[in-house]
Amino acid sequence: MKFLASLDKRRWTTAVVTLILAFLSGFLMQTVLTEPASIVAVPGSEDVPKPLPTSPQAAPLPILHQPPRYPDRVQEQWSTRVADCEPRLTVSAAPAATLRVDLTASCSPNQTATLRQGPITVGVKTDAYGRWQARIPAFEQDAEVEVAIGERLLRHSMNVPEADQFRHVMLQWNGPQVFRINAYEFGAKDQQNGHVWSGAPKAPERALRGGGFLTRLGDETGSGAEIYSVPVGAMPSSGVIRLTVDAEITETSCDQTVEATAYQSGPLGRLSPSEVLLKMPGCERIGEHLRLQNLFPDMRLALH
Amino acid sequence: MLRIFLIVGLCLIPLVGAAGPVKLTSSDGQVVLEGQLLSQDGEFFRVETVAGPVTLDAGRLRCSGAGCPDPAKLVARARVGGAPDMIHRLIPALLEVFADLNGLEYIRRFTDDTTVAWELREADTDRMVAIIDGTVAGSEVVEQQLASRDIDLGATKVPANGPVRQDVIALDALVPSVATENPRAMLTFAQLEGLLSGRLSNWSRLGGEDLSVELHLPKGWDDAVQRLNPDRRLAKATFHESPADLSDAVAANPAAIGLVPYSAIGNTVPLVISGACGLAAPATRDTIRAKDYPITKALYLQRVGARQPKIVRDFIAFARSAEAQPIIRAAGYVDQAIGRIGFERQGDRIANAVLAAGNDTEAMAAVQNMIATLLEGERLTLTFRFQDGSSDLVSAPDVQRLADAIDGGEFDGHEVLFVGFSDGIGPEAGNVRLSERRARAVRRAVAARVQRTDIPLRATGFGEVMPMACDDTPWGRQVNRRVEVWLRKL
Repeated sequence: MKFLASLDKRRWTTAVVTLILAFLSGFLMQTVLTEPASIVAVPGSEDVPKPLPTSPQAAPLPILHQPPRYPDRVQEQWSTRVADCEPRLTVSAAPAATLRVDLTASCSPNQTATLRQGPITVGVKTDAYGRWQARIPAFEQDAEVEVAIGERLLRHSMNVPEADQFRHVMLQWNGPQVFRINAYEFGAKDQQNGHVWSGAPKAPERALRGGGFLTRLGDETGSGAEIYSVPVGAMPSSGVIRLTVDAEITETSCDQTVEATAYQSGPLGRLSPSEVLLKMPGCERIGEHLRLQNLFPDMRLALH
Repeated sequence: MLRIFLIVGLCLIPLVGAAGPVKLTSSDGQVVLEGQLLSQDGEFFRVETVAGPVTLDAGRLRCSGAGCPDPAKLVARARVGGAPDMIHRLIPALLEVFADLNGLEYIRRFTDDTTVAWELREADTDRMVAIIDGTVAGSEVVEQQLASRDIDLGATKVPANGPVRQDVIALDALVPSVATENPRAMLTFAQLEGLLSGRLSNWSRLGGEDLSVELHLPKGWDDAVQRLNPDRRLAKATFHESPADLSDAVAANPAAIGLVPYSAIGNTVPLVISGACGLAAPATRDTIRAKDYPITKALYLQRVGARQPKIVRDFIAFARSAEAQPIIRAAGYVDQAIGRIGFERQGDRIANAVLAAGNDTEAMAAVQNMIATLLEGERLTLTFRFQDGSSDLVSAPDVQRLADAIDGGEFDGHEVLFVGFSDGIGPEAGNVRLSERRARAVRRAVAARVQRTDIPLRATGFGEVMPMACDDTPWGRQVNRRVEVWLRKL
C-alpha cells in the first residue's frame, strides 16, 4: 500500500480531502440532528423501562457538543427543587461514535456508582450535587449504558451507527491507578502530537482527522479504565499504531502483583480479553515504571 | 473381548504425573483390565499390564484404584517457545479462532513481555481443557528446548536441523524500505547492493539529498541479506532484534534504508526492486505467495516426535487449514491459501515477453504460442522453483498442498496445466527442453499424490520467453527458473 501511496500522491490527496469532507458533513448532520435522549429509569432489576414523570425539572437537558455548564446558582435551585430523589440517566450520541452520559442523583452526592457499557465495568463517583458525566466511546452499534447507584439500576440504549467504524483497546482494573496506555500513532515519538496517553488524551473530534483519543474513567482509588479509540472506517491515515502500557511503580504497587483486564480487537470480530497479572519491582524503584510492549499488539490500519 | 480398545504403537505424553495401580472397566462391564497407569492425556489411557504396555480409549472406560487421575486435573498442558511476534501476534489469533471452532472459551493470561499462557475451557461447563504456556525465545534456544523436551512446540522463522517435524504456517519476506520523507520508490538491484555494501554511502549518489546512508538490518535474516548482497561485505549497519524497532528506526529517519520484514513494514515505505533489464519485483501478498518476490522466509511450527497432546496436534492441523489462512493474513503475514491471478493481470509480463522477442520471428512465434495456451487461463499463486540447471523438485509441502486442493474440489471443471519456464542462460532449444522436463517432473510429483482421476494434469514448457526478473543476478535467474501452475476451463 505504501509504495502505491508514494507513486500516486495526488490521487491520495483527493481521496483524503473527500473523506474529510464526508466526515465533516456527517459531523454537521449529527450536530443538527442529534436529539436529546429520553430518560429511562428501571427500578430494581426489572427489565421493563418505565417513563419518568414529566415534571419540568425532569425534562431532558439539551445536548450541546460542549460539556453542559451548570452555573452554581441554577444548580442550587434545581437540586433543591427536585424532591423525588429519582436518579436519572441521560445518554445521547455525540460525534466520533461516542456517548454523552449524564447521571443525576441529587440524593446521592459523593457516592460511587457502577457504569457498564460494552466491556466497561467501572466505578464512578458523583459530585457534591449527585452528578456525574462523561463522554465514552460506544463499543457497539446498539450501545447499552447501565448505571447502578444504590439500589437503583438505570439503563439506556442508544443506536450509534458509526460504532463499527472504530477500533478500541481497553485496560480495566480495580484499585489505585497503576496502568497507563500509550498510543504512538503512525510513527509518533514520546510527547509528539501523535502520542496519545492520559497526559494528552486528545478530543474525540480528532477522529475526523484520522487520529485516536483516550478515555479515562473511574477515580484514583476505586476502579478505573483507560480506553483508546481510533477510527478505521473512513481513514485518512494508514500505517501502524504502536500500543504500550506503562505500569507505575508506586508506594501501593511496588513489590505487589497487580491485576488488570485488557481488551483488544480479536480475530473473531469481537473484543478479546487478556488477564494481566504483573509482578511489580521492589519499592526501591518507586517513581519508575515498567513498560509492556506486547500486551497489546500493534494496530495496523490500511486504507481500503 | 478387548477388540475395540486396543491401539498399538501410540506414544503419548504423560500429561498428568500419573503412576500407580488402576483397574479399568468398560461401560458394559465386559472388559476389565488391571495394571500400572503410565499416562492419561484425556483421550487415551496407557497402562503397563502383564502383557506389556496397552493404550486404551479413555472415553469408554471407568477407572478405579489409587493410580486413577483426578478428572478435574485432566487438563492438556503444552509449552510453546518462539519469536516474539509469533508468540504475541500470530499464535494467539490462531488459538482464539481454534477455540471458537471447538466450542471452547479462550483467555490469554499475560505475565510479562516474554511470558503468556492461554487457557481453553469448555464454554458450557467451564471445565478447563488445556493450558498452553508461551515463552518468547530466540531460535537457538527453541532448538535446544525442543531437543531437551522443555517445550513441546517451537514457533520460529529458522528451519530446524535434526529430527524435528516442522510445518510452514505462514510466509514473510525481506523488503528494502525507507521513511515516508525519502522520495525514492524504486531501486535497481545494483543500487541496493551498493547501499548494502557501502559502495553507495550517500543518497546524493542516487540523485537524492546530501545525506549519509544509514543502514538498518534485522537480526536472524543473515542468509536473506546475503542473497541481496552476494559479495558478502556489509556496510556499517545497526542490527535490530525486534522487527518493530527496526521498522520504527527506518520510519523516523529520512537517511535510513532498512531491510524490513514484510510483516513489520509498519510506517515505512517499501521500495520496488528492479533489475538492469527493467523488470521489477514488488513485494505483495501475491508475489510473495508465488515466490516471484525472491527474498522470502517461512514461519514454522516445530515439534519433536509424536509426543504432543491431541489438542496440540489438532491446533497444528488447524493452523495449516484453509480456515486459518484469513487469520494469518489479518495478523500481517502472508498466508498460503492458493490464490488465482487472471490472465488480464499478467499484462506487464506479457509485454516484457513481446519486447524481449524483438524482431526474432521464432521467438515471437513462441510468445504467441504461449499466449494462445494461457489466454483463457488463471495462474495459481503456487509456483515451483528449481536450482540452476536441475529439475529436482524443491518443495514437497507445496506438492501436497496442490494435491490436497485438487482432491478437495477447488479446481473442479478445470484442467491443471504445469507450465515450465527457464532463465535465459544457454541455448534456447535447451532451455525449452529443460522447462518441459521441469514441468513434467512437477506434474508427476503432483499426480502421485492426487487421488482423483477426473481432473486432467498436463505439462508444457516455454523456455525463456517470459522472464519475471533480470538474468543478471543469481536471484533473478532463480525467480525465472520456475514451473507455474495454471487452470484452464474444461
